[in-house]
Amino acid sequence: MAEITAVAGRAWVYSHNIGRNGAAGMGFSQPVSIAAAKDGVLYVTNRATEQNPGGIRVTKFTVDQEYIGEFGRQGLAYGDNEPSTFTWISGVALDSAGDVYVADEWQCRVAIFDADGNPKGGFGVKGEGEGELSGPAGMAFDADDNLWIVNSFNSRIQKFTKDGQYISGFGSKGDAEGQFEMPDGIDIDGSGDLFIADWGNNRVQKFTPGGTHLRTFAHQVNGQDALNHPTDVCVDGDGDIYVADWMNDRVVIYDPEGLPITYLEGDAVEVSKWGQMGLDANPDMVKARRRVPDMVEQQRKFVKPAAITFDRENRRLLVCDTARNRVQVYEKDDEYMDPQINL
Amino acid sequence: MSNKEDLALMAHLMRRAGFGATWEELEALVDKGYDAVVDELVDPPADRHGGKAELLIRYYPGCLLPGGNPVMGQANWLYNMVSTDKPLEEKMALFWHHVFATGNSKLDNCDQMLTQIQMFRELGMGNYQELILELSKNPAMIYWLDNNENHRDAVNENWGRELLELFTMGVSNYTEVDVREASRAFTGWTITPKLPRQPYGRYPWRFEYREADHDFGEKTFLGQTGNFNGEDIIDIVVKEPATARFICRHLYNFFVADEPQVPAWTIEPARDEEALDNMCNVFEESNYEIREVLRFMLKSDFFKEARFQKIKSPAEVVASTMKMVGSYQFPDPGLARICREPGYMGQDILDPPSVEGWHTGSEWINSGSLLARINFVADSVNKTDLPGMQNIISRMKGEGITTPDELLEGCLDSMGFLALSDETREQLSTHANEGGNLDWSDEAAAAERIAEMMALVGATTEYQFA
Repeated sequence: MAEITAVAGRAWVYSHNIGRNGAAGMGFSQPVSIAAAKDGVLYVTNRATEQNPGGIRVTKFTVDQEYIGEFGRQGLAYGDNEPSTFTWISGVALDSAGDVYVADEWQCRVAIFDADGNPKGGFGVKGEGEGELSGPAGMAFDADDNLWIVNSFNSRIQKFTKDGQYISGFGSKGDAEGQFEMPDGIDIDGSGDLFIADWGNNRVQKFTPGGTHLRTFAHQVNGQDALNHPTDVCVDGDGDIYVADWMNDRVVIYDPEGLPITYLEGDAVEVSKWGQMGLDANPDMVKARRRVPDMVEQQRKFVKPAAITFDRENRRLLVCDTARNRVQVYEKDDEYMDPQINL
Repeated sequence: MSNKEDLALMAHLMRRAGFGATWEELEALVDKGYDAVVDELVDPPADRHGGKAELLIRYYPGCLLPGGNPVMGQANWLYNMVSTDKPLEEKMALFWHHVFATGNSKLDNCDQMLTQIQMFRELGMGNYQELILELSKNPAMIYWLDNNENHRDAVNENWGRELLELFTMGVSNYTEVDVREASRAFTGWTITPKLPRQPYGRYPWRFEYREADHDFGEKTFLGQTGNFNGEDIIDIVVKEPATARFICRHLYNFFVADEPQVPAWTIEPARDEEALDNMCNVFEESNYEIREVLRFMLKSDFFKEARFQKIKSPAEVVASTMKMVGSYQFPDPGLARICREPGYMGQDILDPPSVEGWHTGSEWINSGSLLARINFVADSVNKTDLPGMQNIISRMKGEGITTPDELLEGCLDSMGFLALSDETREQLSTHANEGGNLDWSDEAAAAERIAEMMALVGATTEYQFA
């Protein structure tokens, strides 16, 4: 059991987890993307299931486990075509004004909401050409408030103005350097360079904003260390890179040179605030938990963590623990020192 | 160009040992040769990885741990059936699901059902003794048949009874005392207390052997006496000739030709006693290797000659039709609807009606289920923009199919080289002739004629047979 994951010069200290299994309100339904506002407000997109489409939504809450609200809803079953309705809700990103941009991988468009969840329209034309959307997955705003969108189906990375005007793009389908196989998450570092989770090629690639390939993150020291369908990537202010190593149920941390330095496997040793509220109303669940000999060891682990973001302002790593319907929160400590061993 | 008879035989093999194959796939398989294809089916090459699980879970994350939601569990399995590159492995999972029928109606936990199905994929073509041992430790089965309630001082006979009655020897081959003694041997085989569904969803169930709850007393089972544990019971029971016959008859019923329902097996002779004897010999001589029985069976003349001798199960109707028309090659939206189709036809996969599983053969058919089957095929073939339908239409155009009888023949071949009775053929031919020749200058209209004819073929009695 970790809780503190330390390497030379820094540590990731597990803080707490947020969420519970829930198709509405204080809970998540297969959260697949997360974005952090500066004031500790978080937005999560819930993919949910076709069988329970009411769970498709954006949840707004704080890192302190305060539930604020939810917006957006499932669209296909209602037969409407409003941008605020979703079939396959995917990436979420915030512009400098705090507006919330939400992608739909199936409908191939981006919905825009204000910070309170009021619809402000959207954009997106389905297609394979320049400026068209084909399975939009991960999204990230750059320092100029332009929106980068990962097209997962045709393996293109495209830049748009925040009102949806196409600016530029690069990428094609394949496994050569600079190509992609159903890419997913994206993040942008302080220099404006792009990091793309190249899902089908089991790697992460780094590019200049102009699309020049800089580096590939996919260490293959041995089979166990290889990435397995990474879904998301983020970069902190120090240049450390975090990869949601989805099928391996872990987060891999790389240093700025691209060398793997450690892993996180999940540390949810406690029950979240929302989770505890559910348990308080169900004493049988509490009893059932007490019978489990290795309860904490089972409970803490990530299961298919699909999304990850780093709140640079507050130096927090936020991991969407997708199959466990929660967010695990870590704080990065650059001054961490191990206590003396003979305490 | 492959010989039509070779294609028809390969279509037969792939219907039974998988969920069908497209014309293009059949041509490639015929080029490999029949015996080589059987060998690949029973021993899939290492570079094949089965269903596209990563793709499914990326776009349908709710299919990973569906919990009590049977629909997303069914969506998971159906997508595996149509996307797998190890079709016999998947078909064997369905076979064992028939035999070792475990149901979500009691479990309320599709995660564990899918774990059991995965176990069938991994062990289903392997050694039967190992499979039965793993089944005895499978948490879904333990809960399904109450072995978690089978204690040293309070024996529960449910698992012990079904092990003998439904999973190994079949009725009339053991006594009530044997049931009791087998059950005593499995005391203490249970499930570790598990994390409940709140607040983070369900966690895996795990097998636990509790020595303190095991009855270490002497037992007498099938004439042998000893301090038996569960492994010893399995070791004894798999060597019984009745077990070989019971399992091989199940295989024959599932893969070769419809047998009477299982409860009648003690009074009804096998459809082909010689074939069954030969399968039993292979089973015993190979030390209970299911793979070797399958290899022998699929290469045998009795299998090759059994075309259209069994009625398709609903899962076969749905998965093979999806493969034919090319739907859900990618996990598009709608899986949660289409995965319910087998249930509408009488086969809720992951939720059999009882531990006895489904009654098969003609019992698949009633007025409601037949309509559901016909409508599903008609709806599917009418989607002429699907890639499989596009391939069928293009090939028929490329072959210059024009006359009404060529149209009928082309549709029959596209649907698995179906053989019709003279009466059915005449009726379909009459209808085809009423529409005149295919006019390829209006490709949409030609496609509509093809889809209409395929829907009519799908409504025939003959199409209900595999």
